[in-house]
Order: sequence, then C-alpha cells, then structure tokens
Amino acid sequence: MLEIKNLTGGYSSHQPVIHQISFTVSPGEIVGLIGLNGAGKSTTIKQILGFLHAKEGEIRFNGQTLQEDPVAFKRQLAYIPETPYLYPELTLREHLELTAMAYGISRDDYQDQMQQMLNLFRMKKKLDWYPDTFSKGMRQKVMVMSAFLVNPSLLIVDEPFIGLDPLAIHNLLELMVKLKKQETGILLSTHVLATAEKYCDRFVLLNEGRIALAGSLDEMREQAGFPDASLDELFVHTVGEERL
Amino acid sequence: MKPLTSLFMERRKAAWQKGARYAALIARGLHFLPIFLLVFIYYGYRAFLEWLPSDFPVYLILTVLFTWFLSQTQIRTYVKAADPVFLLPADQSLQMYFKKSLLYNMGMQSLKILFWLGFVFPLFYTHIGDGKAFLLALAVLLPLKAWNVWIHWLELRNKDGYTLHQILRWGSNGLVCLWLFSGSLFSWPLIVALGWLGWLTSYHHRFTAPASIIPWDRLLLLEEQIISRYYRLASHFVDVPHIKNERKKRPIFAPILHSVRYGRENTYLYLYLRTFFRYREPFGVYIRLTLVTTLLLATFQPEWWLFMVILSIAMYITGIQLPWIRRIHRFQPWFRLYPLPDEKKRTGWARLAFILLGVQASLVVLLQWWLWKDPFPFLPMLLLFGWLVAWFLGQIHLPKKLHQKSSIIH
Repeated sequence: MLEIKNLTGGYSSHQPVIHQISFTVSPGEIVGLIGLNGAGKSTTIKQILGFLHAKEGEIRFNGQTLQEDPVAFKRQLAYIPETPYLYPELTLREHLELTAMAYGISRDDYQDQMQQMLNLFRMKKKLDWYPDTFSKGMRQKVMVMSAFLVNPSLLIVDEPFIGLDPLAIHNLLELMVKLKKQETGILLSTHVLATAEKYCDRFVLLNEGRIALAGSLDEMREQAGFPDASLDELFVHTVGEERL
Repeated sequence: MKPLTSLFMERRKAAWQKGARYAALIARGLHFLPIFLLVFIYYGYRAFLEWLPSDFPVYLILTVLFTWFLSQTQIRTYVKAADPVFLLPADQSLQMYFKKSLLYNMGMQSLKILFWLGFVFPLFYTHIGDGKAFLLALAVLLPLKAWNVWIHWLELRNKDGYTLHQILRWGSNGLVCLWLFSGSLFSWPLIVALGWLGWLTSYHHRFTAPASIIPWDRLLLLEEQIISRYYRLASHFVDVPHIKNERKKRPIFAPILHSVRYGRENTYLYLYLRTFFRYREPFGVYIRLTLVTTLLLATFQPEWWLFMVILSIAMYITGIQLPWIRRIHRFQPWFRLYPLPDEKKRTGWARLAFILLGVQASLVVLLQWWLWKDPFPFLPMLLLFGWLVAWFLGQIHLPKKLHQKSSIIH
C-alpha cells in the first residue's frame, strides 16, 4: 500500500507547491488525482518517484521509504509520464528489452509479454523503428508498453490519454483494470473527469497544492454538500467557487 | 524596460559573459593541455621555418590564407527569434542597433586579421619583406577587412541571392592579396584596386534593399548557425544542453551491440553502447582522435617514451569526452527509476570507457607498420601500456571525476 503522510514540498524548499497532503493507494484500487493546471498533481507524483525531495512528510510503499531501500522501492513501481521521454538512439525493441533487463525479467517472460503488448497496441511493424519516426501517440504507447511489461505493484500514471488514439485509450484502460484485479495499486492523474469517474475507486482533488476533497465519489458528495453531483460538477463547484 | 539604444551592447555583454563562462569550464577540464599544445605549435612552427626552402613561394601561401581570412566574414547581430515581432515598431532605433553591430564586427574581424598577421610575421619577415613592408601590409589588410564586413552586410540585405556577389568579393580579395604579398601592389595595381573596390561597393548598393527592410530570416538563421558552431566546439569539452546531437544508425556496428548478454547486470552497458555508437559525437571525436594520433605517430615515428606521452594525451582527450554518454540520460525519468543500485550507472560507464580506450590504444599501436619491422620488445610493451592507461582513465581517474559531479547526475 502507498501511504503519503503530511507531504509538503516542491521545486524549491522556500516555496512549497503542495502542502500537508495525505492519502493512500491500496492494492487493487485506482485512485484518481485531479485538479487544475498547477494544482500540484505532477509535483506530488515527482515526490513519490523521488525526483523531488520532500520538505516535510513521508512516503511509504509497503512500509518502506525510497531512501531506506531504493532498489526494492523502485522495483515495485512503474511510471507513465505525461510527456513521453524516449531514448532517441534506441529502437522500440531495444526500449522494451532495456526495461526488461533493468527489472530483471527473464528473457522468456519478456518475449511473451512483448508480443502481447505489440499486438494489443498494434506496434508489431514498428519494432525496429526509432522514436523520431513515431507520432506522439506512438511514443506514448512505448511508455505504456514498458510500464506494463514490468508487472508493477504500484503504477503511477500522469495524464496518459493525450495523443493516444481511442483504441489505445481503451486498451490502456483495460490493462489498468487487469492490473487492478492482480492487486496492483494505481494512481491516475488526469483531466478527463468522465474517465476518472468511471474507472477510479477513490479520488484526491487538489486545489492550490492542498487537498480540497478526498474519498469515494459518495464521500466527496457528502463533503461538498451536493448529494447528486457528478465528479465534473463537484470539481467545478469546489475549484471554481474557491477561485471566485 | 531597458532603452533600445543600449540593447546591442547589453546583448554583446551577455554573450561575452556566457562565452567566458564556457571558456573557464573548458580550461578547467583541459588542465595543462593548452600549454602542451602551445609548446607543440611553437616548436613545430620553428621547425617548419627552418625546413622551408628559401625559394618556396611563400607569397602564394599567404595569399591563400589571407584571401580566406578576409573573405570569410562573420557578422554577429545577436538578434533573437522574438525581435521581428517586438522590435518592429522601433524602426529608427533598429537602424542604430545594426550600425553598432556593424562597427563591433569590423573591430572584431580586424582583430582576427591582426592576430593572423602577427602569427605569420616570422614567415613574412624571412621571405617577403622587412618591418616597414609588414606595417604597409597591415595598413592595407585592416581597412580591407572592414570593407569586407560592410560589403557582406550589403550582401545579407540583398533582395535576391548573393552568390555572384560573394564570388566577386572573394576574387577581389584574392587579387589584392596576391599583389600585396608579391610586392607589386604599391604602384598602378593600387589605383586599379581602389577603383575596382569603389565600383564593387556601388554595385552592391544597387541590389540592397532599403534600410527599413530588415532580412530577419536570414539574420536569425545566421545567428543560429554561429551560435551552434560555438556550442558544437564547446561540446567537445563540456556538456552543452543547447546542442542537438545528431543520431546515426551505423548498422555496421550492430554485431558489437548484440554482443552484450541479456541480463540485469548489463543494463547500463547495453544503453551506453548504443548511445556511443548511434550519436554523431563523441563517436566522431573518438574516430578522429584515433586517426590523427595514428598518423602523427606514423609520420614522426618518435622514441618509445614520446610515443607513450602522445598516446596518453590522445587517450586522455578522448576519455574526457566519454562522460557525456552517461550525462545525456540524467533527465530521462526511466534512467532514474531503474531498480538498480546507483553505482551501477558509474560502473557500467567505467566498463565501456575502459574497453573503448583500450581498443583505441590497440588500434593506434597496431597500425604503426614501422613497429612491425622489429616488433619486440616495443610493440607488446606499448600495447600493454595503452591498456594500462585505458584502465587508469576508465576505471580510476574519470569515474572519480564523474563521482564528484554525481550530485547532478542521478
């Protein structure tokens, strides 16, 4: 289980972007991280991944922090970033192979998984192509395929739908559901509220670096005092009202 | 807001400061190598002067050299991509901006001529003429350079292409240089030259667009090319974030890439090998330095100790380019997330650096055909020495330097 307690931090220790954030992601659940641009979603994710150092608070996964055992901590998680970062000098095959090597996946498992992913995302013909010939969507697919290749216990996904074609979005969501059934915890940051409402079990709504609402949809309705509101309405009400 | 009148000077100052920072970084990285280089040039130049036969047509060499130095004119305007939008309303101030740029470039380019004239002075003095003749050459070449800057500026503002204009300018420079260095300028050729240059100036003016029309695209492209050139030069020594390193497939090296065994312990070697072979640099530097060192040693066939010194210097210069292979990945999120101990990034790099430098040393030594005539004991000794240097640089010295920087290299 991912546990975030009283997390405060940002790019500079003098000017924290997020303040006193606490939430959990349990095995087998999808938690939606939502908020306006600049609300602190990506900063929270970067803190979990260890790209930024927290000013206060702690992040534990299955009881362990990143600092205590970086290798074990990282082995359990996979990340799909908002912007697809690929190695320009590696082909698609080599991206997948490198990931499999780094995560210690056996060659046979890697070959099996790779074939499944290639079929699912229709990238078989692109196996020996370099990323500079890929569209944004294809680049994002490489990220998605690599993340699922490693069978993580915690999957962190930052705005994954931009650039993906509808079929790829469908497949990505299917894979997320499959992973969820295998007891993987998923933290999904997104602006696509309709998708979040449909697939997420719980939500964390960030506003100006603080948690405005958190919990299941029903719990958030109760917190906001809107018993029949959709996620979209809750979002507009909570964030829009505070902005006025 | 800063007044537009001082904008050129502000930008020039900022560019110089940035240049100075890069120069300091490069100097720090090179240690005492520039001193070695200066000593090498000094002795090489002296040996060249002693070797040069007295009937050698030095005036031809100087003509070619100075035709190049005069004609190859660079104009720095420090323009930025946003200028056409933001500076457009400031027409009068812009005229002043470009005037300042032109004066600055005339000054800088004249300094270039002064430097090269100083460099060739020994050659001039021994083969062409005395001190008075040298001062006269200076009096001709400096204004001629300023004229070249002015005409090149007109070329850039030419409405159409300017290839013909450039050919005319290069030809004129060549002719004046030939007359100057052959000693025949100071009579009727001087009058012909002045008349011709005057006519050429008016000819250029005829094709120039009005001053209010600024060739932004051309100027921006030129500025970008100049900056890229500087950054590319700097990137041989330090990591330059602005430079885009071209990717090359180089399928010929595929067998080497495939030789890395599939396994967790080889993760970084797998990546670094591909980074090395599939980017233009530092692979290019590696090949160039290997070839130059091989040719240098084959030409001079030095004593064994000097052989070792030259080989070590070449390997060192190659070695300091290699940390880039690891540095390039430092912002790649996966590279930071791989579940492997952090030191593996360094040890994987050290393995590659050791192999690359060892192979370089072997190539340089084994290609010395003159050593093969009597291979023992020097050939094996030099080979062993090469691999020892590779081990020291790859496994000890350079990783230590990398380690010091590791706070920014995760």
